[in-house]
Amino acid sequence: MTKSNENPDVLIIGAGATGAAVAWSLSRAGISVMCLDQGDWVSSSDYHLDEPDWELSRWSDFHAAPNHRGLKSDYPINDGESAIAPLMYNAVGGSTIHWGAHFPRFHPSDFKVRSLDGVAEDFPYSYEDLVPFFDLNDRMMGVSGLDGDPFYPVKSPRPMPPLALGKLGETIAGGFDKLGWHWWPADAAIASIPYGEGRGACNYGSSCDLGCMTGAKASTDITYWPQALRAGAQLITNARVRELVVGDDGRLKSAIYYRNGQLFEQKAQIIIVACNGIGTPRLLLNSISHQFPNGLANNSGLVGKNLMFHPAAFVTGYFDEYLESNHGPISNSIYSHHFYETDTNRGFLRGYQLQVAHDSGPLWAARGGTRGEPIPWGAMHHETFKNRFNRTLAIAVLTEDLPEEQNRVTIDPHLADGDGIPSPKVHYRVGENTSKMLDHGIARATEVLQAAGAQDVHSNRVPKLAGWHLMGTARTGLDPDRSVVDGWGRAHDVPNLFIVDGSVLVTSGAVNVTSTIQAIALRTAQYIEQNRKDL
Amino acid sequence: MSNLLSQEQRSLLEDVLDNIIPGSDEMPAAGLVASDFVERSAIGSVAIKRIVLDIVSATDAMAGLHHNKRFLDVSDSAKESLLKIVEEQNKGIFSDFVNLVYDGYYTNPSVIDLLGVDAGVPQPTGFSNPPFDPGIVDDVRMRGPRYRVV
Repeated sequence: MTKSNENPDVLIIGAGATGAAVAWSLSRAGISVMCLDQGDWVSSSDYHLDEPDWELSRWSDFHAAPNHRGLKSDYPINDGESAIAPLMYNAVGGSTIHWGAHFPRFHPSDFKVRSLDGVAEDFPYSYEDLVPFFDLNDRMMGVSGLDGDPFYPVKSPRPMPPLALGKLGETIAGGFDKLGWHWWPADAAIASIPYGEGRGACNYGSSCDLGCMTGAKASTDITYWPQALRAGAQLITNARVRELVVGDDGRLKSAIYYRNGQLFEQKAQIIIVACNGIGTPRLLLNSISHQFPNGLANNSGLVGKNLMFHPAAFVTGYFDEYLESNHGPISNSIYSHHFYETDTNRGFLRGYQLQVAHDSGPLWAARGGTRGEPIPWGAMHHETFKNRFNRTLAIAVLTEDLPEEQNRVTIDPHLADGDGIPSPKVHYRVGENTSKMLDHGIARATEVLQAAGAQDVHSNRVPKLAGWHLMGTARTGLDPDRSVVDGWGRAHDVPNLFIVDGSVLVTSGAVNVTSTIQAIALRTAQYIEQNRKDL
Repeated sequence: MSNLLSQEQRSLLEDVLDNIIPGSDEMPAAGLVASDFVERSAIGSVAIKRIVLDIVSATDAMAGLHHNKRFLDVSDSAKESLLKIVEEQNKGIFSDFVNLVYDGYYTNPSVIDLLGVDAGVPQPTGFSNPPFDPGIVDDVRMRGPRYRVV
C-alpha cells in the first residue's frame, strides 16, 4: 500500500453537492483540504444534447440508476428488497450532474416535527439557524426564483428572476387558482440570466437530467469546485475509498482507497464523509475495527437505519391544447405547498409537495414519460403519440417520508464493486402514513389537473426508479443513543469524523433536499473552521 | 454494417417492425427507419441480440401455429393479432423489444424532422417561452402568509 506524503487538515470523501460546498468553505478559510471522489470530471462535451439520438443516454450512460448505468465509477446496489431504487451519479459534482435543480428549502416546521406533530424527531437546530447558510448557498449555486412566497417566511431576495413558466406552467397555475390553492414559481438552481463564471441563461431545452450544455443548471463541478480549487483544495478523482481507519486513541487516522487498482492510505486530522444516504452508511459499515465491530461510529446501532426516500406518485394529465410541455427545465415550473402541513382531518400526519414537471423529447413521450407505460404499439400508435406529445402535464406528489428503522441500508455479503468493496443492500417499504398521503395527493393532483382542463388523467403510484433523495442513515441528534452525529454533524463516537450529506437528516421534509443539505454542510464547515484546534 | 440477420430474417424483422409502428399518411413505418438501429444494437449486445432473435423467431413460430404460414405471408389484418399473442407469451422481452424499436424510430433524423421543431434536438438553441409575468401570482399573494409558525 502506498502512503500519501501530504496530510491535509481535512480529508473529504465525496465531491458532490455537499462535499464540494465544504471543500470550498474550508479551503477559502485557509484550511488545507483534500477530497477523494470515486468518479471523474464530466465535461460539457460529454453531453450529447445536440445530436439526434440525444435521448438514448437517458437509458444508457446517463441512466439515473447506477445499476442500469453500470459505469466504472458506479457501485452496484442490491435493491431487490426495496420498493424504491436509489438514484445517484458518481462524478465530480455527484448527483447534481443529472439532477433537475429544483431548489426549495425545508420549511421551519420540518425541523420540529416531534414537537409539532408528535412523530419522529426534532432536528437539534432550526430553520433560522440555517438561514444564513441557505442564503450563502443560493448565491453560490445561483438560484432563480420569485420573492414573496406566502408559504415561507420572508427570504432574502432571490439571486435571479424566475424562469419563464411557459404555456404548461401558466395552464396549471390557472387550475390552482380556480381551486384557491397555493402555488408558486419554483426556486431553481438554474440561471435565468447569465450568472457566475461563464454560466449562460437557461434556454428551456428540457433535458437537465442528461447534463446542461449551457452551464445554466448549477452542478457543483461548475459552481463550488472551480473556486475551491483556486483556494488551494486538492481533488483526487477515480479514488474509491474502501474504509476509514481508527487509531488506538479512538480518533480517525486515515482513509484507505483504491485508484487505478492500487491501494493508498491518506491520513488527515479531520475526515468529512459526503457520500450520500447510501454511500455513507456503506462506508461506515465497511469500516470495521476492534473499537467498532459493528461499523464506524455505530455505537447507537443506527448507521444505515431510518432510510428515507420521499415516495412519490406521478399524476399525468392529457390536454386537447398543445402545451409546449417540453419548453422548460424538466423538474422546474411551479409547485404547491397547499397540503404541506399536518391537517388531522386528512387521516395522516405531515404532508406533501405538488411539483409540476416539464416533459422531454419524443422518445421520452413514446416510452411513456411520467406515466411509466409506453405508448401502445400497433395501429393506434401515431394517433396516441400525437395526442400526448407536448399535450401532457405531470404533477409529482412528493411525500414526507417518516423514519422507520426497518427501512435501512446493510452490506450485501455477495455483491461488490469493481475494486471488490462490498456493496450496499437496501431494504425499504412504503409506510402506512405515507401510503395514505399518496392516496390523498393523487386525488388532489387529479382535481387540479381537471380544473386546468385535462381531458384524461393517469396516476403512476410509487414508481421504483424514484429514489432521488437519500436520507436519514446517519441521523443527527443530541442523544448519542438515538443518533449518529451531533448538531454540528460530528460523530458522537469519533471526535474527528463529520458527516454532511443527506444521511444526517432526521426527518425528510416534503421537498427536494439539496438546498437544505448544502446549507447544513456549510454550517458544519463553519463549525470546523471556528473550532478546528479543539477537534 | 456487418450483418447479424440473414436476408430472410431481416425481411421478417422489418415486417414485425412495420406492425409495431405502422406507416401513416405522415409518418414512415418502423421497418424502413428503425431496422438498421435494431440490428446494430443486437450486434453490439448479447442481451439485445437474444431479445431480437427470440421475438423474431417466436413471431414466425406463432404464424406457423395459427395460420400454417410464415409471418411474412400472413394477411396484414392478422399480423397485429399474432404479435399480441407473442406479447402475451413473452411479456418481459416483448416490452424490451418495443422500447428498442421506439429507441430506433424516435432518434431517426427523418422521423424527428417529420414530427416538427419541438421534437428536435434541445441544444444548442433550446426552445422559446414568453417572459415571466409577475402579475400571474397576484391571487396567491393576496391570500397572505400561510406558512406554519413554529
